[in-house]
Amino acid sequence: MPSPPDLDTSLTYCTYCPKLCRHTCPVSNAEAKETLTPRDKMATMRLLRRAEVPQTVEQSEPLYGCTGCGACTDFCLHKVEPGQALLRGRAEAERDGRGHPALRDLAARFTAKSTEAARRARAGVSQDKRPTEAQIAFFPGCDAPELAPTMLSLCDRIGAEYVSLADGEHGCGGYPLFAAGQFDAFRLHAERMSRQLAGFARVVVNCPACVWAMRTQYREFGVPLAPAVEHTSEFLEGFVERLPIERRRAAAFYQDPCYLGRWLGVYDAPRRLAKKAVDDVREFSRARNEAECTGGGGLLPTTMPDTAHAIAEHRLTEVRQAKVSTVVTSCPTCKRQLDRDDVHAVDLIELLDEATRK
Amino acid sequence: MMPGRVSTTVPDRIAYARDLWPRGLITLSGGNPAPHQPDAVVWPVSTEEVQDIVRAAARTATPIVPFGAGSGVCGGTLPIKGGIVVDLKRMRAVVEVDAVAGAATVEAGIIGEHLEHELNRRGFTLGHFPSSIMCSTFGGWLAARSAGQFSTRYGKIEDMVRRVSFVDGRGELHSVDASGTPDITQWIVGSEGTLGIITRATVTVRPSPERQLYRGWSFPRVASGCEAIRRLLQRNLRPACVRLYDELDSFLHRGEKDHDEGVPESSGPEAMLEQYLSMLTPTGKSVIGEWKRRAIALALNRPELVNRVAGAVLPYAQKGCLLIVGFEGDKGLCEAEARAATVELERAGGRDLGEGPGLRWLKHRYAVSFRMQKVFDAGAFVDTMEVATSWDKLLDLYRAVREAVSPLAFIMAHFSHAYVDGCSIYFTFAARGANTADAERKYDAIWKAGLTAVTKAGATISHHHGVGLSKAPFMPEEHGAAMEIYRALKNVLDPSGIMNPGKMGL
Repeated sequence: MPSPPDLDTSLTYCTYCPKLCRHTCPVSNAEAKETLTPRDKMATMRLLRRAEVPQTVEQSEPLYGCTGCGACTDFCLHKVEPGQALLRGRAEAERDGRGHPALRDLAARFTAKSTEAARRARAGVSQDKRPTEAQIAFFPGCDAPELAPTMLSLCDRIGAEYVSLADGEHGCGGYPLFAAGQFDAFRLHAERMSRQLAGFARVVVNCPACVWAMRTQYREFGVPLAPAVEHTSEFLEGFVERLPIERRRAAAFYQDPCYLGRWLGVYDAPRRLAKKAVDDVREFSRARNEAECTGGGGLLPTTMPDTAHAIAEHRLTEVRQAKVSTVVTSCPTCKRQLDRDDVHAVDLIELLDEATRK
Repeated sequence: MMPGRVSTTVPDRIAYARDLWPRGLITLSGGNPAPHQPDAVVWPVSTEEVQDIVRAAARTATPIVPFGAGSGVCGGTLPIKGGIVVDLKRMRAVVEVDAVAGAATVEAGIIGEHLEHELNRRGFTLGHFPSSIMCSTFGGWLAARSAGQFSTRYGKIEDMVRRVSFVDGRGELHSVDASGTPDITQWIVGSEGTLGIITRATVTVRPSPERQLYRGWSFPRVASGCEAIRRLLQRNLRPACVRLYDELDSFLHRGEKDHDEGVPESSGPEAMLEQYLSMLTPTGKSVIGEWKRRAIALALNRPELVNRVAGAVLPYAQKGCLLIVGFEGDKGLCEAEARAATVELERAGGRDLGEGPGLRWLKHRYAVSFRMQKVFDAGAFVDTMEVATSWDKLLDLYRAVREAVSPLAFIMAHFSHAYVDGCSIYFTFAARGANTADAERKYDAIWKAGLTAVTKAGATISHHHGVGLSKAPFMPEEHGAAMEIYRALKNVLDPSGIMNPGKMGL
């Protein structure tokens, strides 16, 4: 796969492109707005950088209409990465005081949510499962800290009782700060996490966006991270043939999380695991690298909540048409986006926990 | 009215001030991103809302520009007189797919790829695959009489239409059926929003093909290739796709190491220019980096020389003209037609290149390269001119346009969209101006020379890109006195003259 072009080249390619990837963009599909196609978001960023348009909050807003799902990149012949480039645009907007109004106090909210997540994760876990040093530790992330005891209980059942909780002050890897373009705050947080996780050899993280951020962006920001980082599904795949399955669900769709699939290339591990606990794992008509986003990435639920909801509703169309009531995913954000009264979104950890309980 | 679905913001007005008319890209590269901004953009969700918008606009004589996805290359959706852009993309439902009728009723705003995907899920295909399928809408196809790459088998979009619903310039809703006499649908399809806004249509769909057979052939010259295609079509064979590249286009479509493989992974004009330069270098290797950009800029400054050199070099290349022929559909019929085609093409002097070139074309037919865009950021431009005529005039048309454009631009062509009665020629040309104004002047001169040659040859100025702004001056020459009929229809359906004003030569 070719490397993405440099930023200037990427912006130029996109500006002159006939929007060849627009059909993949969940935001512009939901909003039906040219301004939010990958081409126009990149063209807007280029115009801003060239000072050919007003340097205003309003003019910068399209930069925030992106979930970072990477579907456009997957389709692009040159592998341009609008999902990454636009974050640079957000950083420039932040720097110039034209950042998105909904993100103005994000750093403070982030700290509150991250510390609260850590508290909630630790709440259901006994002291002996919260060492400061261990070979393998589980880090549930800030969207579903309540999965910590569930995961550790599952680990006990499958013969991985040595897995402990990656306990500490913070419960988030920092992706939201990165997605906001608040790069200084992200770097500081990465340094904090580097210290918090220094005592572990491997950290199993349940949030794909944070797996990606910790694996790739900490290094980009010059922050070393001692433990290897892997996603829950990658860790659990090693136990797939030893799962003590007691019960199975009849049918469920599997939703590929964008950061797990397109960005980390993990497609098969969660499927293999889900198939152990579900008789009929259904595929969306657009799956794997063509999977549609559920609208939860890139802080879209904060900056454009109605659009984020509409994207998820669109994704649920096939589930409802098939009269299936369960969607399995391995991302807390996707789960939150897809969970409804008539459709139950289930994290892989919950699915396997349920399937292996006597 | 329409809370949250009306915008007058600067970013939205800039985004809707562009389509893909290459002249607009020249202006953009000159630092003017949005010379024709609308006053407002609206996103209706129903036919009733479209009617309300049009009625309100008619009361105040406010121009309206119907908008699909803005992929047009003739300036058809530019709001040159300001007013309201009506973006139809929130009206995107596949309303019904009737397997017995073999028909689908679809709202105008659905993106083409989304429509085909939905039909495929139900076991059908529209059979309409324009290069823009990822970035154009169903309504846009209808408005501009679009053709897909498989139009030889499935027809152009107007051939698929059974019923069209549209809101005229007074806000009145009409639903017209193609089975009526006369067929009023054809007055609306291709009118590019000048008579009304197409809101939905019923079109013929077919079962997804069981079998696809694609092959490449080589013919010594354009004339023998065209003759072979004519024989195929007039023998009533119905290939899905027939594409004959002229000598230069064939050469540029081939990599250095796989001359008989044909069709590159990235088939944009920029990649072709790059390949062309490699042909001119003694080693045949690609020129790299800044030197490549300079060399291309230099070449584009001397188009006549480039065309002459190409004419001198190509006979030594002895690669001939590449023809891609594909059949698809029912397995038995498809295989039988492919066998008959093989006999016919061999009889016409063709050399069978096997499945490779055909399958490569099929796989990469939507791949477009933008590697050389920095060259185009510096005053160069590329455009395409798709014209058509009957078989008896086809080669004269080819020669006339080449002769007219050669002094002004680097030019090549392929023949595609072949029918029983005639064929389209798709010219690609590239040139460069010293600055934005010079580039615009050269661009206009090329189009004037090209389309003058087209009308003199008795051919049509537009096979499937539409007319918009770029070809509007040639409408009177194309239609003669019949333009009066068009104007009369316009006066009835759009008495206030608000519908897409300034387009189509009205």
